[in-house]
Amino acid sequence: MPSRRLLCAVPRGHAADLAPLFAAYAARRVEVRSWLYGGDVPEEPALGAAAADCDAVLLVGRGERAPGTVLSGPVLATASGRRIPIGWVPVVDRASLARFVSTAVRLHERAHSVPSVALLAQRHPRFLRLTDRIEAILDGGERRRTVFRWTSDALVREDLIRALASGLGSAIYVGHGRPTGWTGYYGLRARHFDGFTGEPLGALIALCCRTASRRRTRLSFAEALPLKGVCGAVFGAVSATLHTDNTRWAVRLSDAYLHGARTLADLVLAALPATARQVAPYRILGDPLCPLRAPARGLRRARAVEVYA
Amino acid sequence: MTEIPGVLQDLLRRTKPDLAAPLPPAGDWADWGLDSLDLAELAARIEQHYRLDIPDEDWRALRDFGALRAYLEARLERDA
Repeated sequence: MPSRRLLCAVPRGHAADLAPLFAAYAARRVEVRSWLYGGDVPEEPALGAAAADCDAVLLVGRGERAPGTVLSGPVLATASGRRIPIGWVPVVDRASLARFVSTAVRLHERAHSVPSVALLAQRHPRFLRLTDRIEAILDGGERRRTVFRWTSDALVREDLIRALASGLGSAIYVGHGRPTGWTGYYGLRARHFDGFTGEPLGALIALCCRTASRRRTRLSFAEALPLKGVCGAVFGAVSATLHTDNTRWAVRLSDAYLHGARTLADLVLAALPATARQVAPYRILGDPLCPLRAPARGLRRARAVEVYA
Repeated sequence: MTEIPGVLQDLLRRTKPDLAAPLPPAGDWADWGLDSLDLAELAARIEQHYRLDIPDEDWRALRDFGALRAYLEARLERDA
């Protein structure tokens, strides 16, 4: 019996590129339903109908399409009205698609023993206080997470990039964001991850404005990171967001971690608000079933990261 | 509706574990040591518990526990 079912809609010409990921899913008892399509990216109603008995959707499509127009949110309604997470992967070129696939495979194949979260934030009292609160929530309850505080007052940009290569399960950023990156860490851009080596991060949650927007950029920051092999997936916004809404997301996500979310899909579903207003800005870029747990050696590397206390 | 005060007190305690006693209906949030972050967290917990959306403009008008309780009673009755 499969533990989960994933619908993967992929252009016919790229089916073979995804084969290693399908094998990695199968090893994790994820049954993949492939939809090899020709022409333009399938619309959401058709995807919802095809994913009637699935737990998540991975949509791969031509790179010209922006996350804000190809999907209406991080979840998709199936024909029965059930909501399931959907991830978008733009095909910019074969090399970056192969990098995404090999990163996702690596994440699925590595041991999933340690739930771990890195807390990232812009150096600003409002965001540092929110980080304090996330840390306090994650430190409570019976299922404690291993939490690393890598906020902008404790690490400089270069150190953060090295820290993110420790191989943790996930990270949450709070601060200001732009289509090209984050304001925190004196401006973090996708190009700072060029030549990224090390162990990839699982999922990166960016609770800020516009990191998945294509406005005045060819590829958004949130799309670029999975394609550069930095992480398996990013949860990011295609438009402006409100700090009050992001605070609410942060609380719900922290609770979802405590309730034992094992994948990004689990996390997003558990933290999903009732209101469309808070959901609509966000998208999943990359693998929606990206695991949030990491091997013990990732934790050891993360513990060795030096921070300014 | 009778359970609303109990649920709210429980959500308040999860938000601010060091709150000494159940909040009385009157008295500004700040009088009880609740700041804007605490209130945003409380809003998130209420929204998640009752599966509803509390717009920021509504939330800003809810100055104390009694007002919040009355607002929720009205919303839940309307949405029922």
